[in-house]
Amino acid sequence: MVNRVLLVTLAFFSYLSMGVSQDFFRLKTDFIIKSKTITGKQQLTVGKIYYDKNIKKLIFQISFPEKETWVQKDTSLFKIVNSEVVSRQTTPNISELTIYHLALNGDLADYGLKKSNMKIIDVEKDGKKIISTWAPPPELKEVFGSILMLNVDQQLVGIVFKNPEDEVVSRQFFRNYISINGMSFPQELVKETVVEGKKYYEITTYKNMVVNEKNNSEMYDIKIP
Amino acid sequence: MKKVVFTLVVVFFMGMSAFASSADLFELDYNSVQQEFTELNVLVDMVEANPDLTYSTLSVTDAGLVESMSLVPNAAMPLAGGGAVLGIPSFLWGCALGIVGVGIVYFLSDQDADEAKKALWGCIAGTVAGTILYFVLIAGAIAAGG
Repeated sequence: MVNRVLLVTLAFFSYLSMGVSQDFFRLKTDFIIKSKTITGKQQLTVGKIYYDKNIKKLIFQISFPEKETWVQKDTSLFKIVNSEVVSRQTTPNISELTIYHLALNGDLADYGLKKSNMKIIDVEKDGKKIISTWAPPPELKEVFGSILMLNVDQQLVGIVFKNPEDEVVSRQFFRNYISINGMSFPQELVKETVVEGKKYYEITTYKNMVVNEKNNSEMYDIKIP
Repeated sequence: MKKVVFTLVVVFFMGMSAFASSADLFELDYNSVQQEFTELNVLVDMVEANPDLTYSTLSVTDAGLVESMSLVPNAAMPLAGGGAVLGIPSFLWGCALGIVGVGIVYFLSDQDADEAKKALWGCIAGTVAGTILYFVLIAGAIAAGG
């Protein structure tokens, strides 16, 4: 009898631990980006994003302003229109720095800073709110300023980037978190950029998010024509 | 005892005031930000109602709207935007990563020449600083050796 109880208890806890350590590997989401440029122009981008953290290809299926597919892999960005590559550009390898990769890995709460060479230098707490301050390594202190993060209920709510003169150069706000099969992801991202004292905004809205999609695998690993 | 209580109260209020000042950095007038995008919200509704709508077709069927909105014909990458790529000002990209940084800014800011120019100035500043540092170190090494 005791053995049975022990077995059931063990099975229960191993089931719980499986649930807690569930592996998120794929994310699909619709996105809308609204932004205003420094020159006063307005920009609208609408589409879908497909990302598999094991493949590390960022796929942007854009429907507006024009129908095209962008594929970012390693240090290349391919723009594909009507199944033809219309341009290829060299870019930094940024897939692991995106919020898609960070969210799938469970690193969004600290914006991936824990795994970077930034060092936490201060933590302030007020109820559920925690503000942490991160400093760049000494060799980059003259180039980069500190980064402040606001977490509420262990979710990243805001991040502030400063220059070495301690002036705010950019802020990002992560709003309206949703849980998709247990993975937390913001439905809205507001970016504020300060240029010569003036603030410029960009709002990215995410909806129809799907995590760990089993079908549709070819969309996560689009072959370059 | 009174001194201890007084010190604790002072420390408590100093902590509160430090938090308040950091917390101010995260204040955002969200409604006013949303108001900036009233026109674009109308366009979003149009695009959602008609998934086949593109900039090209819109500029033919409703050129007035495209012009009045000063609509950009190209897409933004859902990673970065505006004047500070990935939250880092263009000048610093150039300063820290040289010509590679200029490229990053030029590409990720949707081929924004002004931003690329700032990064280029950063690149030049970084190169000049690096060259001066190089000669200072060489001179120092010669002086120490001689």
